[in-house]
Amino acid sequence: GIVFPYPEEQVQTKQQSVKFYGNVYVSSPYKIETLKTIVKVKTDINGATKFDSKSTDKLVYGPYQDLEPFQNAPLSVHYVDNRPILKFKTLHRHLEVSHWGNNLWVQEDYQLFHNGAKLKGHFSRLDYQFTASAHHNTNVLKELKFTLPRKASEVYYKDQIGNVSTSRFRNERTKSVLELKPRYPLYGGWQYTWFHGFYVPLSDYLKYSRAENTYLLRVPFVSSLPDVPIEKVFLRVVLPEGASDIQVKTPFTVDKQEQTLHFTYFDVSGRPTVVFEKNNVVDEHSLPIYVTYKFESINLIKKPLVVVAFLIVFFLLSMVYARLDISIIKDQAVERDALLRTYRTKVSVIIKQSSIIFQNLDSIFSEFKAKQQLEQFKSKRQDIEQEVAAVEKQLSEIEKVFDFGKDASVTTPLLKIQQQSEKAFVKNVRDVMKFLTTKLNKQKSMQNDVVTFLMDSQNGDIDEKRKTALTASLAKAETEIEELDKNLKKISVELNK
Amino acid sequence: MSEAQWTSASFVTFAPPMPTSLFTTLAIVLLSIGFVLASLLLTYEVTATKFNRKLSTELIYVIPASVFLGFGTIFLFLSNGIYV
Repeated sequence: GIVFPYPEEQVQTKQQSVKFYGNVYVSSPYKIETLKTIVKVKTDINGATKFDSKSTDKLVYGPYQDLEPFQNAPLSVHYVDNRPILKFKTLHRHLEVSHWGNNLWVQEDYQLFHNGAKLKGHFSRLDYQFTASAHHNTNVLKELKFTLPRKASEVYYKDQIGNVSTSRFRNERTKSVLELKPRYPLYGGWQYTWFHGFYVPLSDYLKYSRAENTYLLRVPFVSSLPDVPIEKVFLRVVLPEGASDIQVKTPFTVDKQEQTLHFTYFDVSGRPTVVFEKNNVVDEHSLPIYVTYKFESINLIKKPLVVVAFLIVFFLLSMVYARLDISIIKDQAVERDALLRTYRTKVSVIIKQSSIIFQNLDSIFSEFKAKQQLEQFKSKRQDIEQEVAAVEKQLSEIEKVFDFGKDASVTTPLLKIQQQSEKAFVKNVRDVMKFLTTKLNKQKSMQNDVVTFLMDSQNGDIDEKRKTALTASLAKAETEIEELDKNLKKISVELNK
Repeated sequence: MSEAQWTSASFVTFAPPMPTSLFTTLAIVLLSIGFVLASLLLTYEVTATKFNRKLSTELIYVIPASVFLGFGTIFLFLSNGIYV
């Protein structure tokens, strides 16, 4: 049977009537002894082919006797039916598989067409609002109800203008329901285009076989509104990058099926995609299709490595930029300032190293005081003296670097300022050398005094006067060394400025 | 035939490489370490002069910084619903 809206046009506020065309008899290849046709219509009947009896909601044709095979008589029933007759002109369905996120992304782009009685005259918003209670007596489409998978999340409903806020979504026990309201009510002959999408856990749709090392994806071909045919369906299944050996099984024939590449976030070689096209799709086509593919887990690391490679290239470019010198003339002041800064850091490092050397000196002296091994102490002290001499040598070489000779080369004011800084630096270096030698000598004399006192006391001569004199001289030396340390610290702070 | 495959015992439910609940923590941790390393690299570049800039020390900062920032970006995308 076929149903058409009749009349084909109708005003906004009136009811839609449809005509059903069918066969009074049954199209059977056999002879029929008796046949009775009952047509059940729940709404008002405007007219019908001549029937034999009628009850509240039934029209009865027959009973007929002795019919020939394939006998045919037109049956038409004209009745009121305000349900909007819909069809989708196109559906673009996009499925994207993500192994990292355990997620299947579904997006559907619909173009809906109201195929009922076309609107006669113009649409009056006033009439529409005033007759709100009577909308169920017209063929207007106000809301669509989509059934989504139970675990659907992150649902969105947008069209070309942007997000459409007139929607409701709820998760129920066995399914999720998405109620969409188009931006405007749809009357006969009108269209509305939108897209909606959602996320769904991939583990509900993907399985893995270790024996064959293949993944099996099972997704419905379409899953939209019941009783709404789709004139053209484009289905795109995007598999993860690195998928290979892709096999597809569909429960019915499709008009076109091919494998392409789809490029999206962080893709280098593209994601293998299977694209299907099919015309005239109905509810019966909501069957699962099966896609198998092989996917090595190592391909998962490709995504972060793409970002890492990009960042390394970025940092290398910044390193190149740091070294880049596009000045036409070599600026003396800048060169000398760079040199000065280099040696400033070197000297502050040397000061730190020297403090460690002096700590070693203190520690070997305490070792001597504990164990009383004089020769060992003396040889270790010799080593430390050599270390200090090496440091002094480094500093004197640094001093020589800044001996630029003639002052005539200093012409510009910047160079003059630079020269002042260099002179201050050289003075600091010389001070450091002086402080280090003085500190070493003082430490040595202190230590020698204590050594002689301890040696004498072992022999039995402990002179109280001598002891007090020793402690006094030691205290004095300590304060002097503290003074030297303070000066060294001051210099290192100045160098780090 | 494929429905038989789907229901057979040799095919098990897909398990992701790591639980998805870890994404936000991993993103924050990896990105913070990456930013710290990147700022160390930045300070080195700013304080080094052309006489004492060494490629080896630069690379010691660049490689770990890129690795942490790279992995951190991926988890940042994953934690925010862009399932790459």
